[in-house]
Amino acid sequence: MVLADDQEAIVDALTRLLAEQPDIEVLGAGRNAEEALKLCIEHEPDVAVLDVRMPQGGGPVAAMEIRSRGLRTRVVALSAFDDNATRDHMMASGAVSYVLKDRPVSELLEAIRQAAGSSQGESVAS
Amino acid sequence: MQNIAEVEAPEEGMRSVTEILLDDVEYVNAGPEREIIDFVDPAGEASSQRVAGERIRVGIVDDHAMVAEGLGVLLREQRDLEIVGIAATVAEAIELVERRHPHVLLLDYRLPDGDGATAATEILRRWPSTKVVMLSAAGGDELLARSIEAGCSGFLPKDRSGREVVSAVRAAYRGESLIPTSVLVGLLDRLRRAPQGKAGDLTQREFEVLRLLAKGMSTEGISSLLFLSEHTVRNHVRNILAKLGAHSKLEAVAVAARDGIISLEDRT
Repeated sequence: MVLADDQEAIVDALTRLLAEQPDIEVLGAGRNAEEALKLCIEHEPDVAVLDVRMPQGGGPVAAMEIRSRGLRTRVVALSAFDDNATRDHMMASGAVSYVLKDRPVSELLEAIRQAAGSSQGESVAS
Repeated sequence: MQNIAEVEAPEEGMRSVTEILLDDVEYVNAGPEREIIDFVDPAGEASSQRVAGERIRVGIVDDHAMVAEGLGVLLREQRDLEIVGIAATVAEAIELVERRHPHVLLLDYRLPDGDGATAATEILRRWPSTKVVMLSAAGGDELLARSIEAGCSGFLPKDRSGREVVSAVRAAYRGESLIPTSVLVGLLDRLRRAPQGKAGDLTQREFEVLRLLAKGMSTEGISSLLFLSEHTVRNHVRNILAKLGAHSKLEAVAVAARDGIISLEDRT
């Protein structure tokens, strides 16, 4: 998977936390939509965890680009905003799930594993 | 003690990720069966004194559990740091400091039941030896100014790296104030642009001199009327200009009239 959030301390922290999981490999981390997209093109990860609000368009822009380029990467949105407008925008842009930052890390891990399952399942089927 | 927050009960027989990652951390909201009574010193003074060679006790306050857990993992990797508690609200933060006496508290500015500056003010009033490092997602000047006013030792925008968070904790523990240069430059800029004080800053004598200036009196006239040397009057005028942020006597009078420091009737 890859990860993108404009708050560097959070990227550092989540990268370490995710890297401790035996079934998760963090291939790279970015600070904005453009970096996130570059990482996805380069690694074509199963999952990209994207902060909804980042410079250069944030999660929605990166998610739309990932979809329009036909990458198999599934997007898990990470958000500090618990409102329907933000959630709907992110889901409409192609995210498969929307995880709030005020939830425990276990929810993020679960969302990543689910997304990875669907990503791999689909690529086998196609 | 009021029960401030329900801990999400993990499923039977399952340990939550939080517990696994931070298994030596006692949560302040862990409930009465996990009452934490490490210290008996009610004021917290003795227990938060530094002892050479001891680990730095760190408390984390962030309502985003994911961020708090992440910061916990990051800080725990440092041998000289020990995470003593994690809280998600202002009320929990106060309880955390009361019960766990951290040397350094990492405090998120935006919390569900108040802001970080208010929390810091209260915490530092009750436990003045605690060092508070403010973390903020938005690095606004206003937040920085309020944090400094509240007595925080450091201020870090969240776009800083984990390494900088660790440095900030250590600097705060050593009694240093850590504010990133970029943030400081913004603050100085703001202070330079801000009006330099108000009527309340004028001394009684400066106020008298200002009123006489408004009447169109010269330095010489004022000095003879007030029995002061011209040099002293010029000093008063300089101070008035600085305090009102004016560049000339005329501007000082205009500013003073506009702000209601003097009334136009003073001229008659």
